[in-house]
Amino acid sequence: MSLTHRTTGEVVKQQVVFKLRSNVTVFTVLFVIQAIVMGLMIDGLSVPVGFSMSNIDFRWYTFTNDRIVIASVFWAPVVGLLMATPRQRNASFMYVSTPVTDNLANFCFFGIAAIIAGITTVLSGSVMKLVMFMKDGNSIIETPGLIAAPLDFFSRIAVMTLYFLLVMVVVYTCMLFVQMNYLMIIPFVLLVLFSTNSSVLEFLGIEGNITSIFDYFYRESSFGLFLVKTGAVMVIVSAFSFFPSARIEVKQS
Amino acid sequence: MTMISLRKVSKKFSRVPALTDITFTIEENVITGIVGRNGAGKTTLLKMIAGFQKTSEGELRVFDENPVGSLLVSANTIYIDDAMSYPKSMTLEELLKEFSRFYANWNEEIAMRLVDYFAIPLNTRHRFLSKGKRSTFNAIVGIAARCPLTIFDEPTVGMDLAARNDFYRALLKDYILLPRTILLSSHYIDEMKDVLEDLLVIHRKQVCYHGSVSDLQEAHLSLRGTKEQLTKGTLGKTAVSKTTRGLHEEWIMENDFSEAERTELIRQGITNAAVSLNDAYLALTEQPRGGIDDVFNA
Amino acid sequence: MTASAIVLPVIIVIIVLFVWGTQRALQNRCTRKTNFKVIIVYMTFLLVALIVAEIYEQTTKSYPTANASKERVDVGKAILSDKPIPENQLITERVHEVEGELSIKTEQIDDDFIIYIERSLEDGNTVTERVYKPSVTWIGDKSYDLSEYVDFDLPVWKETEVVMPFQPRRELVFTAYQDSKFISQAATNQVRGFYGRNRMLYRIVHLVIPDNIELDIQLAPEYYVEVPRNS
Repeated sequence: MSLTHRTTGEVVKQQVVFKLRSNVTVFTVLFVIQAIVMGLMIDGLSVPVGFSMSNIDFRWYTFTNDRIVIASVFWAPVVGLLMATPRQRNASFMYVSTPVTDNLANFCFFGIAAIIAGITTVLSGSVMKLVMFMKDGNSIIETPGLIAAPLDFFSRIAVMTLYFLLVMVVVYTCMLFVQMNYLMIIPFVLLVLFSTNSSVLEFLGIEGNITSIFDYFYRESSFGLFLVKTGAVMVIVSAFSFFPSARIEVKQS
Repeated sequence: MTMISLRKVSKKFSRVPALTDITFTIEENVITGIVGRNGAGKTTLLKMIAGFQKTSEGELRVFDENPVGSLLVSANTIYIDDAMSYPKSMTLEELLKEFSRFYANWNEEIAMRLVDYFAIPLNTRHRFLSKGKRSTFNAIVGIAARCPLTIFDEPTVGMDLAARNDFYRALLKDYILLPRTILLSSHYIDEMKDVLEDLLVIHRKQVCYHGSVSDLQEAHLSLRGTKEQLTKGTLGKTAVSKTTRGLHEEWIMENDFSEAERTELIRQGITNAAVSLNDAYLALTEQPRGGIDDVFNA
Repeated sequence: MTASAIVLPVIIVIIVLFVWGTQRALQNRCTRKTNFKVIIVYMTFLLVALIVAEIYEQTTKSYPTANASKERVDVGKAILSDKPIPENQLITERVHEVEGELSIKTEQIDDDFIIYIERSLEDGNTVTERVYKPSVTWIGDKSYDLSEYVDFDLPVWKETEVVMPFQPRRELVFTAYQDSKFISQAATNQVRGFYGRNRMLYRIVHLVIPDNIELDIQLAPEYYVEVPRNS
């Protein structure tokens, strides 16, 4: 019987399709979370702000997709964790796969998941906007939508997508290192302690501030630079991930 | 053509040896049975060949490549065991579709016919099947994938006798249609004896026999008689196992008896017979004692 | 070490575990088809929401635009310093013929108005009344001039008296949408995530009354201001 020769690209493509098919639940979970938060936010920020004078009651209801964004961000590490589980690895090795193709396919999966999550998170804004229009009162659009400001609309999708991707890639890589050697959890815990504001280590004279890491990305108002920053971090982190992924064995039982 | 070759391969799990100093080669289009007692290291060996696990020492080549991380090995190998990690949300039909996408030689027709024959409902999910059906489904995948290297690690766990026989028959039929290299590990050695050409016996983390099935059977002789008869008749010969059956004992001997010696044994009232494959295997993998009986006779 | 430094990571871990649990539960219970259905329904819902919201946004013109409030003049100060006031801040200018005396009253004890009373140097019977919009500024993510949306009943004139009528209680409700500031960092329309500062000034009535008319002001002192005569 002659041997079949396959290219990495081919296998990665097939694996990505497989991963998308076998992990569709990931998206259902995201949508359930978004829908729940949307439901909670149906009255806007529950307490209106405003003022009352002798014959005027002024009430101002703000609608925003702020909390949908925050809730969705919690979904990203779960996706990163999930794809690093032995179960996922075993499933892809059940079909044609090597550590390299598996890793590449995971990153492609993250990319697609992040794009879908980015789009739906920004679109959830439209739902809130619609809810706002449906409410009694004079409607004010503080941030214009797709037709009025298409560039802003797409920049939001891109920014959200990059954040999702960044979280997934970082969590995934950390989990691979932990799987390679459980002791690796120590440096990660230390890192979190170091970088948390008013950390446990403060009495040792070590102070950190996780917000400064966050600010590194969040304060960047130029999309190009934001892309470069997140892109560079992701490339470096994902390059690291090939190290543990080549060392973790399949079907360890 | 040599498909698999191992030279002084050892495997350790955090300093505990699982396999030591394994050397053998497997040629193309041979069905080899891998047998050994529990914990002998069969599964570890098969996983190393599939490229799932690394060797700790020595050289392992599959299709003349190191199987770990090899796309060639992965594309031409299918590994079937009783712990397949199927995605929980996918139905059997969807799983088969995935296999057909990945494996170039996948034979949809055979797969569907086998599924029909074994009455496996395709619209359910794998974990909702009974244990036997689960194994049957895995086995169908292994057959239909028609991989140049097909590895079955205990494929018949949970199958009833009829299903086990059907599986081996199906495997043999498909092998005749499209010969390929098959590694088959099982505890039920007698069931697979019709399928096997070669046997690889692993005992105490080492290869203790690798050769044709018939050679293994011929290398042993089963003798029955009273203890005194057997002690007297086998003087100077090596017994590999001794079992007491009522007043009589059955000894399995290394078969270096000449024709004259065998006639003499019969004359002394000792019956001698060819050993079954299972007995030969058990003889190989047991210490030359009375086996479990000794535990109670002590 | 603050309480939030302990509580926050715990909350984050709990939320992540919750999401993980949901993921596992759904993975075990739902088939791929069910998942696909959910995804398609949700995506369609979002797309419809987008289209409808965009149509609304394009067709609803009723919302007040952010003001170019620099052009806005503080009416009170302008009257006192005799500076011009832009026409668009004026609701109405009326003239009334008054014989001899004028009493100024209010039907409501607490109302939000200020009457600027200016005595003209000439004699005559004609009182000029200018009613200005109350200035309502709302600082949400941008500042808005919502003055146009404040309605009130004009003063009622009866021969020798002018009465600030009883104002029914009015509600002024605004609903505003702003995108999350967390994802707007690269947008040209920066979102600051503010909602909630306001400024409302009293509505102003400016009366120019000839010198010969006798005034009977039946108002508490905080409701009126006498404009000093220009010498």
